[in-house]
Amino acid sequence: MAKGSQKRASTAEADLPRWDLSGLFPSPDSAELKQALISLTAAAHKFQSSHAGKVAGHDPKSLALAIEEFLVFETEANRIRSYVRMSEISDPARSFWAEEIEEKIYAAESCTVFFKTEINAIAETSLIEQMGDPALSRHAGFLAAVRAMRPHALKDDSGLPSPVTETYAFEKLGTGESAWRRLYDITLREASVNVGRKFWPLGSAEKAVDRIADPDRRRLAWDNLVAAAEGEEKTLSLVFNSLVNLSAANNRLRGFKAPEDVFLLPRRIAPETAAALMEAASDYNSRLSHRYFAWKAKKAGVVRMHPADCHAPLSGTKWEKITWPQAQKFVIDAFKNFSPKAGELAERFLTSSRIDAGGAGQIFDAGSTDQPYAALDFAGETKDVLSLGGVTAQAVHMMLAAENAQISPSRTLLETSATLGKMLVFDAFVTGARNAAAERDIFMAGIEILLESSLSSAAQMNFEKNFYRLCEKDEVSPADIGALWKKSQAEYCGPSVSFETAGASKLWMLQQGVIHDPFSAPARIFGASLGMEIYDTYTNADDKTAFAEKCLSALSVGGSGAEAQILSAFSIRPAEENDWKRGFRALRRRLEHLFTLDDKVQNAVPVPAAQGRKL
Amino acid sequence: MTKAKFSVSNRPPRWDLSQLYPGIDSAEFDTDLSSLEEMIVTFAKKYKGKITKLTAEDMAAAIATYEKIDSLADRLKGYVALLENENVNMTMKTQRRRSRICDLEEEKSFLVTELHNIEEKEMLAKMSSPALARYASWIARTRDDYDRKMPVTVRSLRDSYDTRNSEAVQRVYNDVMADFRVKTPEGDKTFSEAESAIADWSLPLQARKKMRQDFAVALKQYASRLSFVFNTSALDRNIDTRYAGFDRVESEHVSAARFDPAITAQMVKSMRKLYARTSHRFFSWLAKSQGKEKIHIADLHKAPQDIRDKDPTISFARASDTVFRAASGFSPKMGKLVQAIFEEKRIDASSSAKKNSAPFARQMGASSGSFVSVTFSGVTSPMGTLAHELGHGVHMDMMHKQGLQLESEVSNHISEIPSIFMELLTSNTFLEDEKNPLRKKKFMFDTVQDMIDTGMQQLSYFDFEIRMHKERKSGPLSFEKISDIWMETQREYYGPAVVMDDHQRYYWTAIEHFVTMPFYVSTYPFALAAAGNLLQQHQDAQSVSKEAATAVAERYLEFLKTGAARSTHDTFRMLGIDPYSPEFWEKGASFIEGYIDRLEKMDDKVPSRTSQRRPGK
Repeated sequence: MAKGSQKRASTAEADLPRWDLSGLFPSPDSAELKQALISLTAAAHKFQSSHAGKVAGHDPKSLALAIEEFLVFETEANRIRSYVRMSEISDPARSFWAEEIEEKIYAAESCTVFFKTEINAIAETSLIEQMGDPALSRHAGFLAAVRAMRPHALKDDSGLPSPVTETYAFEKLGTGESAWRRLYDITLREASVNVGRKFWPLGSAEKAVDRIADPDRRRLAWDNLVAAAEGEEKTLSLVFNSLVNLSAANNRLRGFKAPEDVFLLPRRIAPETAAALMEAASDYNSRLSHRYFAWKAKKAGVVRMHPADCHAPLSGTKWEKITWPQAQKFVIDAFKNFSPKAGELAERFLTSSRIDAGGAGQIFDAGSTDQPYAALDFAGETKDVLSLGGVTAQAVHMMLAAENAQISPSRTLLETSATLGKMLVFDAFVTGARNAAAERDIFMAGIEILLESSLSSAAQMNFEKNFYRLCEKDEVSPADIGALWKKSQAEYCGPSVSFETAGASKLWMLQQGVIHDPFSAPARIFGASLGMEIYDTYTNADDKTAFAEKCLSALSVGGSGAEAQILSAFSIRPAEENDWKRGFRALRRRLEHLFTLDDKVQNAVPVPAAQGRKL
Repeated sequence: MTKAKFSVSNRPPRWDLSQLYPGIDSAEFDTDLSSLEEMIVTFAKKYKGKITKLTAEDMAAAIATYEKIDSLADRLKGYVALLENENVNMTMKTQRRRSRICDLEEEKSFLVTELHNIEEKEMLAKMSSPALARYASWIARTRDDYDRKMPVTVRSLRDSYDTRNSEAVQRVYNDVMADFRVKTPEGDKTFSEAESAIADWSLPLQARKKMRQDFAVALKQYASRLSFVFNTSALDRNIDTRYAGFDRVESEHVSAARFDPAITAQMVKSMRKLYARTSHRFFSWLAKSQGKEKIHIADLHKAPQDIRDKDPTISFARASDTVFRAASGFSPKMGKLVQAIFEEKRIDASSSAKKNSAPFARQMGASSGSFVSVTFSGVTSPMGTLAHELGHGVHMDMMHKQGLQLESEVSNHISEIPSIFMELLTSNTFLEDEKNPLRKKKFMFDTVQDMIDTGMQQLSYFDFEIRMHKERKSGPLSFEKISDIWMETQREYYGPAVVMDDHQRYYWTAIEHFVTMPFYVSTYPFALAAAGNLLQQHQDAQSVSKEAATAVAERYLEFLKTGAARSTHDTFRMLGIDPYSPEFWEKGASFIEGYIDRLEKMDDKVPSRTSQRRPGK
């Protein structure tokens, strides 16, 4: 259990951006932060004493005022929490400090849990009547989101949503779900892996391994990665099992049928839509990922690829490192080319000091969607710039929503913009490619990154569902979890990737999404498919400028109607599997293009001896 | 004195679990599990939602069924626990079965909830019926439960959600302890190996200090996980305590253990003042016996020079025999119960790496006597542990013979009295037997040390838990912060003569009870004081007449039989003790002091070192 002593290894060596968080608080130990926590706690207590037990008796105006007071509280809690999490990314040694503060925020929030519960105790007819008042109808979106949980509330003896029980359940998250996630993070932070010359924390080592171009060195590092994971197997298996157990208990108590339902509800995805999305994705496994990996295996000169080679650069590929300023300009130009407005916002975001290259693809609204912060893993590769395009698009989306005074955009729509952003950068790369070989490499990077956010996340969800099902019967052993993971990966990667390698059954431990963002596949596939479809329509549009503007305004509308609006604009019926396939068809055309390009390269240059290695 | 033959071989016995089930995967186990399910389903179908409306007769029938279910569940759960104890790696295989039993048991809990909800007047009317007489005290206790202030919906949420989660948190702790290794030049040492190594008196102080330092470094390696466990479980307990309406952090646990928090509060108040007369005095004597003003904690459990080589080990046969004779000497009935545990192969005294070395005794429901586990490695006072667990076993078997199931849920504080009482009896028997003055002094030394550990040190542990949980209320505690709180309480306990080190600083991590049974340690100082008071009574009676002594013994056996049928207040009255008064604690401490006096007097009686003949090997 060697400690991860290397602070921010990824940014130590290069001239990469670090965010400046002083716009939020002067420093983690500042009096301002302490004061903010005191005020937050006071606000929570005040809110509690003025409204607890009284919500049902509020007239429309006082209910509207209470909602506004609640939203102000929530925004401030979110601002402090974002600051704390970002400070922890900057300095992992601050994890205990972060835990301390998050617990205080949590305690304040627990004083306000009653509010949504009491709203849900109001009879439907009486609420509809109240909504007639314009003061309250302004908050229709908020109320709809709260009321969506109504059938799943914890009830008291009389069958009404019970504030005390909900508050208790909320507090118990701190020793349940949140505690296990924290233990997961501690474990992945403290275990370290020898990746070539450097030690990386287990949690970020996998990407570092993927980046090693030399196959032998990469294999060695991969073996180290697997061994380090194996050392934590007992703890992590307990974390995985415990989280699912809690989730199952919660679903039972709240009457959620499928394990994913509880995650679909706040993302406003209907179960039928989720099913259609998953089916569309699984239908495209053989047409997209299987074909892609078969091709990549062939390029490597093997029949079946080692899992360590799946996302690695092809042997012999020479990547030119892209510097941060180059990446910045490149992305800004790509966005400007799409729409001057988007370009302007992208520039504002990318030249702000609100980006940190030492994290792992996360966006924070930090209390104000007008000024989003982002952390991403940037090492100057094509894929990193594509991801930067995704994050930038999300930031632009948030800023647009802020301009329209809308609440933070939904997850599905943020995923959609991320895909659009990636596509913009993808094609900007293609345009600038010097030759067919370079273009081919860009297509590889682009396809890999698009697969990752779509089909690969579907594979993760299949794993999650199978794991969940097995967990209900018995505690699932590490070996069985490993087998489930291999199965899901084999379905996704197809026959050209070998998962018989013993180490392949250890990789489930590194799937941070399973712990921190479970059952996210429907939202991600939604965004990937819709994003690719929109982009495809955009490239074929006669009036690109007009289309881009339409796109932006559609995306920047917040609220519950936004998804429906944009889906109908593209005549996608959410429960229709076939409609979601349109985005994948666009991706397939890109895959075909990759093969054509590769043929071109092969024909132009004498074929070098295969540099791959046998398994 | 009894003529019963008692002979035990020197090889620590293994228990025979096949008398319960052939195996965890056996058809027999599954059959019982299925019938448990069937019984519970039928029970719930018949009575759920209807308890309040039952006649007294029907209610008695319902409780009788509930009792049967409880008994079978105890047997199944007990068997699983015994297997897990044999092999700590078993949990993977057994946990789900255990959870299943818990889940099933939850299905029967409506009875308790519904009993809660009956109006007091209505209940009183029902209770006057003779049909319910048998369950009267159980009903009263159940209705007067500690968490009555917790809303019913919260309580059921806690029951369904929490048990499994806190077990999982405890498993993190168990896994750390199982994986724990101290790196030494001779290779990695497990926790218990390292524990033995630091008590290897053949090594010079310097070497032991070094080993302790390595031990401390190893504990620190697990800092994040250990503080995760402590912080998570303390927060969890704090939340429940608040929802149950208690203001003191320990009250919920003490009340849940069906004991009076006013007594434990009185205990901390009275006994902290007694450190000076007990632990401080003993440690100063120890320092002086080594010719020093201060003693390093690494030397603390090292006996003085003159008695150091005095047979630190006691053979298993002699230990068992001494316990048996001590029990028989007090009362032949008690001796027979000890004997039965050995003859019926209900004791496991073996030691293995896979075994959970924490000793215990366990009730197994109406169809079997208790099971006892100790790890007889022969290094640390194993006879005391053996006597202690057999004391529990005897108590459980007494209740079992009375057919008590629901009434056998005795408060931990009360149930520790028989175990400590048996330890004291055993010590006295050994001291009477032993003729060699040096060995006698050595044993006296061990006994005093043990009493100090049981009484005063456990009090300091309890005090630590209270302070730690209080601090936890205002936020998570870092590993070092917890260590600071711990050191405060330990300095108070050890006093000015003891020099502390880092091993001691992090030693709180090694105390399993803090995680698995918070505040449980309060039972020991209470029970030691109570057992001391009782033994004093017996000795006083003996000096009057044989009949008087027999009467005290009979009264004590009556107490063992009663189980939880009597309230704690009645139990105290019956036993003639009053833990609400400072005198009770004063007497408990004087009892320990009496032994220290005898130990100090032995300093004069043993031959001086120069004339001492080295004992033959």
